[in-house]
Amino acid sequence: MWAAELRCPKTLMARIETCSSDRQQVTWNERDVDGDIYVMPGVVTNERLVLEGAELSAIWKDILPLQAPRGWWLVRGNVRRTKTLAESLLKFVLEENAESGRIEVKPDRSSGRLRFTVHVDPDLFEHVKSDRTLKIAALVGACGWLPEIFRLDDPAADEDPLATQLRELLTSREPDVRLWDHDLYDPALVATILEPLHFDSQDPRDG
Amino acid sequence: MDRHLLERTGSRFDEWQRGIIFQSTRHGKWTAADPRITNPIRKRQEELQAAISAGAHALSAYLRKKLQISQGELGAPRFPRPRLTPREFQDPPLELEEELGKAWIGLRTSLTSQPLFWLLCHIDWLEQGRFDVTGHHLAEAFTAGHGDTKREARTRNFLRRTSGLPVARGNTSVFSDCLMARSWWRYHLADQVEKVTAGRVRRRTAHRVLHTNRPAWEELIMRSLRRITVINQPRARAAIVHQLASRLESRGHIDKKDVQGITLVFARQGLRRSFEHTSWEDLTGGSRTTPSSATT
Repeated sequence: MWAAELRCPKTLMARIETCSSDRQQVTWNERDVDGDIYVMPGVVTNERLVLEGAELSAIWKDILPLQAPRGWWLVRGNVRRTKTLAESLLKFVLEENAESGRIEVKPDRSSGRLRFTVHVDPDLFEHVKSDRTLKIAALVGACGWLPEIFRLDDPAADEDPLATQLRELLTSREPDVRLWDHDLYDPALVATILEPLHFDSQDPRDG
Repeated sequence: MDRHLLERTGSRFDEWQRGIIFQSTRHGKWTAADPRITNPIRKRQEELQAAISAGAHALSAYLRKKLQISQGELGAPRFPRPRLTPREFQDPPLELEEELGKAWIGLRTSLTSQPLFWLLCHIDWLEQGRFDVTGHHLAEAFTAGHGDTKREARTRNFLRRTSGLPVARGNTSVFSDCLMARSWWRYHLADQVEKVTAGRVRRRTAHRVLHTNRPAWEELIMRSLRRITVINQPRARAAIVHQLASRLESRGHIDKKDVQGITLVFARQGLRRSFEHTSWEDLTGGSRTTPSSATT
């Protein structure tokens, strides 16, 4: 049967959902999760399985019949996040008293993870979900904080999965892109690697 | 509690915690003697200590000011006892944890995993007089303990106990250091163990396992959060607690090495099997079945 394992480490949640149809829908309650959520799709045996040669590729012929007890993973896909790295880094909050047209980005490790709170006024807040430019502006601000948050050899940077993922991404682009502990680190460049800047022709502000 | 309040206040909480402790990794190894760095931190620490010494109302006013929260109830869960002594607060016995856990059973994990949620609860409880209200008793409850002759250590003790210290200790801190949060999580997980095993492992037994040894609890939490997240599958955790309970019964104690050994076994098994579809007997060591031809 198809199976998808759902994990939210921050709330110590992990569970498996299964189905037999050709389409699987995985749901969770927002009140049970916080921070990053991971999904691992795969196939699990729902009963003891014995596969003979006719059902399998020739590469298995030396070890046939193939047997697996109930509950064994036959196939596991790659781990998928339910949010992009950029989405995981930013949290937009409504700031009633904020001056119109301004955003303020501040680090927020109150959750124990690398995250930035973006304080926006009520007018901008309405566009948070639809406007990529706003998201990218906030990302530039967030990336500007990284040298301050993660000094060289800071163990917190090694423990934080988002920081690790960000480091891996940027390291793969070296020497064109520098890490936050380098003099030539460029927050705008890093932000637009995470979320490339382009103008959508269907942007409602056009025309 | 209003989630918007948590979201709005998160960055202020972070800023306050970061500004009130000295971190060589952040400030630089050679800045411990630099007054430009240490003087502002010292002043903030003294301000906190003064608020604690002045009693519950002064302390809650101090915290509200730092977090920029106006007056009014914050929606903390009802405290089941009129008041906690400093000793009960610092090291809640099993019976007290059960009492707290039962009273707060409806709390959702999306809140209880957040350090700021617990700090806001402490502000409410301070204002309701749930702790001994004099400055002397508050200091004993919140700041006394390891290294408490130093201002930095007293400050860190306060931050750890009332919310956890995520800026320095990461996301395990709320589970390990914040005493009320730790009590809630132990009870919650013990309750989950009883439910998922249909009573094969009693809640009291599971709770005793989670309560008996602090390093063992911290190890279990650290592995569940960071290293072996597959053990958060409820049946896996229940089987781990069951095995720890057997050791506790036979030897009279468990320690973090027991947790390391058992969780490692489950980490390996989790690569190959779904714990949700494995029989309880297999999970608890009754069978060591392996697929005959699975060699990958």
